[in-house]
Formats: sequence, structure tokens, C-alpha cells
Amino acid sequence: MNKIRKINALSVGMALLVGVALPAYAASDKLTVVVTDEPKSLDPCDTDLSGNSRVMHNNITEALVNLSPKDGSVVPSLATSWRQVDSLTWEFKLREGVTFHDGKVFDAQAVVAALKRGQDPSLACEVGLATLKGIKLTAEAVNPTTLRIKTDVVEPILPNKMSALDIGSPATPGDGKTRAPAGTGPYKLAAWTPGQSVTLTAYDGYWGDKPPIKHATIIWRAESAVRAAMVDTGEAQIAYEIAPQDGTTGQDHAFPNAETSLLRIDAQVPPLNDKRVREALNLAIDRDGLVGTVFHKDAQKAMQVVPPSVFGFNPDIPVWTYDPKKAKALLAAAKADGVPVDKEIVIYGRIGIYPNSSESLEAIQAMLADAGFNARLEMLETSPWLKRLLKPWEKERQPSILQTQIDNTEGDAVFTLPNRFTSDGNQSTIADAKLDKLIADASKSTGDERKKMFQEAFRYIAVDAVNIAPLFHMVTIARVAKNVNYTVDVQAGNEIKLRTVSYR
Amino acid sequence: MSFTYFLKRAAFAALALAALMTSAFFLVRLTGDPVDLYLPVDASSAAREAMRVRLGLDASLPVQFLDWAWDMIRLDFGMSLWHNRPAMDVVLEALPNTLALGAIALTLAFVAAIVIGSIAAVNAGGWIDRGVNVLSQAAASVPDFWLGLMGVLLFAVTFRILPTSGFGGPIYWVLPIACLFARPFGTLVQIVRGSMIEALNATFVRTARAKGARDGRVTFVHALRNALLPAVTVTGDLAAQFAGGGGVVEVVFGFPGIGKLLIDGILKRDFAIVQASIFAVAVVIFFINILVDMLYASIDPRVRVE
Amino acid sequence: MTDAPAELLPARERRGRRILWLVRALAGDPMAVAAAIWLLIVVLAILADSLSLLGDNRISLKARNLPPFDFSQSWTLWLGADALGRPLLVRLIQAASTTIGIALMTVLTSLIGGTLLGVIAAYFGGIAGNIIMRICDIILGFPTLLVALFGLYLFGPSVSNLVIVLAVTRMPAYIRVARAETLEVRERLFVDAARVFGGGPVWILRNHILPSVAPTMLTLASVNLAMVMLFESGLSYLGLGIQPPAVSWGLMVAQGQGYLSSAWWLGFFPGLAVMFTTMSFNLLANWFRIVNDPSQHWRLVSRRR
Repeated sequence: MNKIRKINALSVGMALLVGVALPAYAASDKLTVVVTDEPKSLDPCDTDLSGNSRVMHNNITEALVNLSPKDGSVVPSLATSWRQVDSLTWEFKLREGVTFHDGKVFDAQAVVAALKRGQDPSLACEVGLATLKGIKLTAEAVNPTTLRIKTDVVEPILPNKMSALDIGSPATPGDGKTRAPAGTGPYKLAAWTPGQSVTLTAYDGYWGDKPPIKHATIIWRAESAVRAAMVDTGEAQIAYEIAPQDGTTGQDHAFPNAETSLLRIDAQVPPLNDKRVREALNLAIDRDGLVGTVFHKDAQKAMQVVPPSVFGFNPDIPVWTYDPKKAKALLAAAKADGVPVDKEIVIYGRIGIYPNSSESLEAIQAMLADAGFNARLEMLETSPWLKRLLKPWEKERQPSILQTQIDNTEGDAVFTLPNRFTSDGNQSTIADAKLDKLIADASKSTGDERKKMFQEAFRYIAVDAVNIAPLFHMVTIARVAKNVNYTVDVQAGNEIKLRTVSYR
Repeated sequence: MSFTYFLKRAAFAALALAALMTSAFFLVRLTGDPVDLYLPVDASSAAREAMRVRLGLDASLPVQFLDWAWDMIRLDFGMSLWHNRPAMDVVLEALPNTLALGAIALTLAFVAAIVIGSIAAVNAGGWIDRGVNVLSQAAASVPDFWLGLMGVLLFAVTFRILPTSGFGGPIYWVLPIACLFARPFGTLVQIVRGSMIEALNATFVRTARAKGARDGRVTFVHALRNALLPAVTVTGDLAAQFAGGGGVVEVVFGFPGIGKLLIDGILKRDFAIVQASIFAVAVVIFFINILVDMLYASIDPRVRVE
Repeated sequence: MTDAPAELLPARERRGRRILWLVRALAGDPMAVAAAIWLLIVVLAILADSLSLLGDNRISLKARNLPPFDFSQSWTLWLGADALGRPLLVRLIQAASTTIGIALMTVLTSLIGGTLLGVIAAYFGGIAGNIIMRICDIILGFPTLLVALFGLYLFGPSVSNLVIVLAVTRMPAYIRVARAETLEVRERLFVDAARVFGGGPVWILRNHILPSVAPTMLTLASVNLAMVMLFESGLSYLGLGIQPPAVSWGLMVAQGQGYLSSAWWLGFFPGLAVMFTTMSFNLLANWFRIVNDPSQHWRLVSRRR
């Protein structure tokens, strides 16, 4: 095994070398994609993390259902149809004639095994810890093509959640994570050379259309400028997450990536516990000045923490205007009432959370200073930043604002609101019984009622609570080589749909 | 060099290594808990606690230390959290890359410095000498990461004759080697030039000349031997530094060496990787020092290793 | 050479001659002159900036990444503007004061600390001396980068922590040299004599040991200045040193990296500044070493053999 891997690595190296030296000879069924980071894990149960998902999801492994990139609706994948049997039971009909890369047959038993594995606490799978958190699912194979899933609480959007559970082969070890996943997808893993590349080859037994690209290599480079240049030099054909300043050519395609950037205000510490101060903070930020300079020109000014495509988005909340005069007046009024507005406020930023993250905060810090805030900027590495993001926090802490971004690729507000805005949430700076109830009720209901309640929750956060300074619904830029056909969509941040790529 | 001498040194090195590893153990644990970094931000506090238990981070520090010490005695460095593989395997994959990179850069720098430094020394005060002096001072002062970036800008982005970064065939080694080459080259040229000029003026060379040695070969060989000693010392020091990874340069080029591994290991709180890398680097440094001593003895017969 | 009988002259005249000699020595080394001029310019620029003589330095997103060499702009914009539209030249000068300030503070800290510890280790020896030397061995056994990484992670990246961490990684060299020098001096006749005449250890240290050790230590410090500056730039480049909104040359290169293909000047000029300044420190250190070593004076006085 080891030997084979080495030989593979060697041939990949040679292929890269040839590709670099003689770009004109690039074979028409080979493709190199450059991303920012190496995947953390290639285990089918870890695809909740976008870095893993990009390599795995719908390339190596597939889920029962997919979410449509157009409207977020649930569409068939390994399951062909589904229905709710009773309030706690769902039934899925499975696709026939599907095999895993290791030769095993895909059936209801395989899904039962995958679900059990994903929820196994000793494995600490991403899917079990995030999407399937707080809900107990018991799956049962009625027959090879029929699967029933029982939930312990009402779960109106179970099909949505199943889009996050990638199904690996039943032979996947149950006592630990695997580095050699076998799925049902159009590509199988050829090699993972840690620190260097992941290579995929087309799977001949795929149940769907055969993809035009037969060999794909995924590599990672931390620098946007380098990634962009690699497409120009022919070292790669697709490069993701190009910074706004590099993404200005005709080959660069911007797409909304379901992320919303914001500053989370610690509304429990003075002077930020005064609503006027929090409003002043929002009014002091010149969002129009930031768009097209530090942020991409296609970024949309945000008023809530989910993008418009998400179920529960409220289109009627007005965006903040830039009004430093009013901000100053609000601060003065607060000061007159004895609020310690001169106290130093720390802005915690995270290095590289999105392109130009520290530039954006430097600019915002200057804007806040202009409006009369005493703000200091502190840029943090991920680990210390997480300490600020997640509870428990010290009782006696400095007033602070935290740079973060929230993604919602699952398409429903329930994936965003609890935990971030509820009293018991591990990253919530707000404890408001009214909001708690609103979110809890909304999560249990369906249809228009659900939508209305979530919209009300977003309005309440934006207008009444004001514990955030929303910035932008973000866009990502992908650079695609001139001779490659590839259409980016909303999901491109989480999926490289390799099978849709071809050479012109 | 006698065998007992080697043993003595090895024993001292082992002792120092034990102290080093122990302090590393405590320092690494002081840099913070890896759990937050490895679980999704939405994970519950129960899930966090479960992971702490699984990693043995719930035990008190003394208990953790004893566990760890027992593993160390058996040379078991544990699993890398990030790579999900035995840490030593990961380190041993990266180490040869770093060693090859450092060895090639240093060998080239050493040879080039001897040639260019002695040319300058023979022409001391002339325009060649002045040119070499400016050039070597600049090379010794250039920040390697900046040189790397400018190299990428020039040769990869603008002229497109070299890859931007990464790892693979010989072509991927050109820019990293060039960056690591600059500073040792500059420093060594200064040293070779300085000590050769000194030697050419020194008594023993004048004596050799007076005794009828013809100018040229004999004089030159005498002076060169004099210059080799300090050059070897400095090269040894540099080699020990490079063994720790051409850290910054490896990061610039995404070169999968031990320096990048170590920096990533710290950023990702991957304790096992950090420990295993420190161990591997310390062992390499030990052998480099032995090698330098041996070289020393073979160049200058007066130096006897005790 | 006329400096031999200097000790016999009155103090003031001695000082005058010393300065004259230094000027002559400097003139004998054109590269050292260039280095001194460069450093003088840098120092004057830092001074001018601290007196706010350089004009507007506000963020102006409209002037983002303004290209350099547009001489129709105000002169502070001749090197272009940075990613937030601030004049790059002014940013470079502000970064200079951080970078050079940290290098100076670090070298001073490790010079004072290292000399004291080294002298103590040598003069008193015993257990304290042994502990000091063993700690030195351990620090030297770590790759320098690692010590710095640990320190900065433990204590968080700030200017004072950076200085302490850098000083600690440099200190073993000073301790070793100071110890070796002291051991040698201690055996000399005049120290013995002082001891016989009843001088206390502190008195002997202050009046005999330190003055004898000082020139070597100062030479070491001058060589180290350049090294520390390069190292700080490397750390800041990795994101472990100076953090925004503070600015240093290494950090500017790191920030410029994101603009490598769209605005090359952001990373180019700060790197160049590091190189020129390091080179100047190196050249002056060389010159300083030669000035302090009478057997090398020939290098300055006559350029030809």
C-alpha cells in the first residue's frame, strides 16, 4: 500500500512537472484545482467542514439528497423520493444499481451504518457535531431500497439535514476515521499525499453520466496572488477564493458564497450594553466606502446574518446608512446619561478569515475613531480568536467587538439562529427570553408560519437587540482558465462540481 | 575521534534532549487547548469535554506528564491530530525534504563562497574585490522571504519560467534553493575573503615565500587552508539552523519541509507533531555537530578532538 | 600611528583626537560612509514623522493601491499608496521606527542581561553559574524560530513580548562570550592585585572586569543588530511579530504579499528597506570591529597592501 502511494505521488509530481514545463500539452481529461487549505479529513462523516466537503461532496461521496443551487430546495441524489410518514418518521426510497468504489452495493443498510457512524460520539464526526447536533436519529432498513428514519423531536426539515450526511461504504471502519474513503461518487480517491495534493480518478461504475474530466488533482496554496497566478501559468485550471484586488480579469467569476460578514457586539459589557452606543457603532461604519475597495464590488450590504437565498430571510429590514453625525449625537446622549463611552473597546479580528480581513478592520477602526469611539484593533490567530468567540468568557472583560462571518449553505434559518442568538448558545452575546422563545417556536413549525417567525427573529435582532454590526453578504471569486468550461454557483464554496467541468 | 568520545557526547546530548523535550512538553501545553480548533464552532460543550477526555487532556498536568514521559521512553510520539497519522511518520516524510534543501543550498553557497572569496582576496582592493564586497554584503542582508516573493513575482508571475510554489520535480527546487543560498553565501564570502587576506599577509605565508615557494600555488593553498577553518565553523552553525527548517522560506513556497510542519503544528496546536519535529531536529543537529568536528580535525591536524 | 601615547594626553585633547581618528577611519571606508548616510536619513525621517512634519496619513479608500512614481502627486505619494490609501513612504517611515526600535531594544536587553549573567556565571561560578550555562545550552538546542514561536504564543504578540523573546533567544551567545572573557580577565595580574589590596567583588567587577569585557560585548552587539532586525522581520512576516494596526517592515511585506500581482510596490519597498538597513548595520558593525581592533587598522588607513 505504502509503496503504491509513493509511486502515485511520484507520477503526480512528474505530471505536474510536465504540466508546468509544457502547458500546451495539457491533456484534455486532466484538471488541477487549487484551493486555500489542505482538507482536514477525507472521512465521509466529516464533510460538514467546507474544506473537506470541497474535495469529497458529490465527487467522492454523495448524500441521499442535494440542495438546489437555484432556490435551496431539496432534490434527489442517492434517494429518489421521500415522504413524512408521521410527525417523527420519514421514509426515503433509494436509488437502485448504485455501487461503492470498493465494490460494495449501496442499499438501506449502508445508509443505516453511515448514519450510526456519523452520530457516534467517540468518532466526533463533523456532521454529528454540527448539522445533526441535538437530535437523535434512528434509521431502519425496511427493505434494500426503503429506509425509515425516526427522530426524537419534531424535525420538519430532516431532508435538508440529510444533504449533509455523505454515505461512505459499509466497509468504512467503525472505530476510527478513514483516510481512504470509498463512496458512490463519480470520482474515487487515487492518492492523498499529505502536505501536497489529493488526486482523484473517474469511477467507471458511476450510476450517473460519466464526467469528461478523468483525472483531477487538488492542491492548496495559502496566498490568493499565488493561486491566481497559477491559473495564468497553467499550473492549475481553477483557483478558488481569489482576493478582490486579483480578481479583476475576464477569467474571474464572482459568486455569492452564502457567508455573511459581521461584527459581533458584546452587548453585556458597558458601554456596549447601551443600545444607543451599539446604534452609533453601526452608523459610524461607511459600508459603501468598503465595497469595491477592501470588499468585492459585488458584495451586498447586509442587515441580517443570512443571505437572501435562505428560508426565513427578511427582505423588509432597512440597511444602516452611514451617518457619523448621528453617531456622534447618540454617543453624546449616552455620555450625558453617564454611559462610559470613552472606555477602550477592543476589536478582535481573525487573520485571514476572508480576503483583506485585517485591512477591513483597520479601515473600520479609523471610521469608529472618527465618530468618537475609543477603539483598539487586535488581530488574532484562529485559536485565540476561538477563545473570544466561544463561551465561557471572563466575567470582568473588556468591551469588545468580534469580527466573524456566518455561513448558511443548508438554506434554512435554523442552521444559523440557535446557538448564536439564544441565551444558552455557546457563542451568543445576547440573553433575551423573547428571542429564545421566538427561535424555539420557529424551529418546530413549518411552512409560512416558520418563515414569518424567523423573519421576525431577524428583525428583532437587527432593530431591537442590535447586538451585531452586519457588514456584507459576501462573494467569492473563482478564476477559471480560458479553455475550461465551468459555471460557478452559490455552492462553489463547499463543492467543486468536478463532473460539470470540461475543456472547451 | 575515539568511540568513547562519541559516547560521552551522545550521553550529554541525550541529557540536553531530555531537558529540551520536557520544557517543550510544558510550553506546548501552555499555548492552549486544541479542542476548540478541532471541533465545529457549533459543537456542544459535552462534545468538547468528550474530546478532551479522548485526548487525555482532562487529566492533571503531572499525570499527563507521566503518561507522556512513558511514551517518550518508548519513542512513541503519538498520533498527529491534524494528519490523523503517527506523528513520527509525518515528520520523517518532511525531514528529507528539508535536509536536501538545506544541504544543496549550503553546499552551493560554500563552494561559491570559496571560489569567489578567494578571487576577491587575491585581488584585494581592486574593483573585483569591491564589487564582491558590495554584492556579498547585500546577499548577507537580504530578507529571505522577501527574496522569495520577488523571485515568484519575477520568474513565476511575470516570466512564467518557474512554478509559483509547491513541490515536485527539480524545477520546484530552484527558487527555494536560491533564497536559502543568499545569506550563507554572503556571510561565507565575507569570511573567506577576510581570512584569506589576513593569511596572505601573515608570517607563515611570507615565510613560505621567503623559503622560495613560488608565488601562486603554494601561497594560495596555505591561505586557503587558513580560510577553510572559520568557513567550516560558520557553515556548521548555519547547517544546524537549516536543520530546524528553512522555516520562513518553506512557508513562502509551500515547501513540505520540517520548518513548515513545525509552524503549522504550532498554529494547529498539533502537540504530537511539534514534539516529534523537535526531537528529529535535535538528533539531526547532534550529528551535524559531530560531522563539523570531524571535518575540523581533517582540515587542521592541530585540532585534536579530545 | 599617532594614537599610541594617547593615554598620556589630557582628557579633552584625548577625546578630540579620538573623534578625529574616527572620522579619518570612517573616510577610509566608503561603504561605511554610505551606510552611515543611509541610517542618518532613516533617523531624520523617523524624527520628522514623530514631529508630524510628513502631512496627512489618513485612510483614504479612494487612493487604494495608488501606483508609485506619479510625480504629479504630493511627494509623500511618490512611492505610491498602500491598500488603505495611506502614503507608502510615510508608512515605511513609521514601520522603520518600530523595526529599528525593536532591534535596538532587543540588542540592548540581551547585551545588558547577557553580560551580567555571563560575568556572574564566570566570576562566582558554582551552582548559579552552572544553572545559567545549562539553560543557555537548552535554549541553543531549540531552533531559534521555535523559541520565538513559543514565546509569542504564550504571551501574545506585542512589542514588549517580541523584544523579550528575541532578547532571550540571543542572550546565550552574549552569556557565553561574557563568561569566557571574564574567566580570562580574572586570571590576569591586575585583578589579582586588586583582590590582594582588598577590593570587594562588586568593586572589582565594576572597575576591572566590566571595562575589559565591554569592547568585545559591544562588537558582538553591533554584529547582532542586523541579525535581530532580519529575524524580527521574518517573525512579523509569519504573522507572529508586530500585529496590525501597528506596522513594521516585515509586516508590510506580509501584507504586500496579498497584492503581489496587483500592486507589487506594497511588498517591494519595505523589503528593500530591510535590506538597506541590515546592510548598513552590518557594514558599520564591520567598521566598528576594525576600529576597535588595532591589529586591523591597516584595513582603514591604507586600502592597498
